[in-house]
Amino acid sequence: MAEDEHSDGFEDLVEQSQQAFADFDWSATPVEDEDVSMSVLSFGIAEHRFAVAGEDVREIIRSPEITEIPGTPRYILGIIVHRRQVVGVLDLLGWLEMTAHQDSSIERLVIVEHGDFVVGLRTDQTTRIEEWSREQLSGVLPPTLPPRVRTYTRATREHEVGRATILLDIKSILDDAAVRSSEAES
Amino acid sequence: LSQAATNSAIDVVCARMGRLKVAISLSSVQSILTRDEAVGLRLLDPSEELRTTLEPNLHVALLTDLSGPPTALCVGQVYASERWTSKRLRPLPRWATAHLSPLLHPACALGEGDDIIWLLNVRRAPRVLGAR
Repeated sequence: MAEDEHSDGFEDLVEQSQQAFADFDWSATPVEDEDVSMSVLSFGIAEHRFAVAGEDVREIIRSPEITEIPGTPRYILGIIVHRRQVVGVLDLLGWLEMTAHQDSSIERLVIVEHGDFVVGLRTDQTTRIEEWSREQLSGVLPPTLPPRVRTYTRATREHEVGRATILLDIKSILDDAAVRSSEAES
Repeated sequence: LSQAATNSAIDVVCARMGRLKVAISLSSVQSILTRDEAVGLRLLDPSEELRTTLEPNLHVALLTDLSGPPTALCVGQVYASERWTSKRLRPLPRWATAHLSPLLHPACALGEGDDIIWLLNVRRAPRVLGAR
């Protein structure tokens, strides 16, 4: 018996895949991507809900004591010591110039990072990991979203009627915070 | 040179200034005096700049290498004298130091229980506080 008669069936599949590869239109939108979901960490601060991409999250810790930095503006809550390293803590609502009408039971610190920047965000205890389908994301931001919030929003997702969770653009937030630092130093 | 910098150490005194803990390099200080001993000195008070309070009649640091009248910086209650290397220090996050007081270096040290000890930039005190 010739060697090629002992086929395990892969040959046909390989041939089919090669044919499909040859016919593939690279300029078209990949069909598979439409169903790809993204992992996000969602959290609440007072009545507002936010999310950050899972890849930007380093860890979530119980909110430790925060030491104020003398002279810094209010949107910088201060610093914490975590694993013997100093981490700055940003007041997200303050940074976004949003107001809170409900009390917030701040209990968690979400530590996010992007590039060289690491920042802690104080959140309430309703913090959870979610899988968001890209179909559920809205790149069209609600007109009620304040301009400054829009600047730092990647997308929104309605979690109840009329209320959206804001997927934050962590890179922009950290870049702009750093730019502000540079401007202040110069 | 980098090896020398890595291994260099400085002598500091630590003080409680209201709710803050601060460290002062002794290289910028001629001596530490009690407030009562500081008669005739020009006194600089950093409490407003650092948004803290300063109890009266505690310690002052007599500054060196200054022209003009003898000048001392009020530093609160001195509680320790130590020798530090760079290993003792932690840099502050750069993004968070935008408006850091010029009286502070952009780093801190960790005390017992990981409390923060701010590094006072004594050499800047006359310029920052002198006009007040």
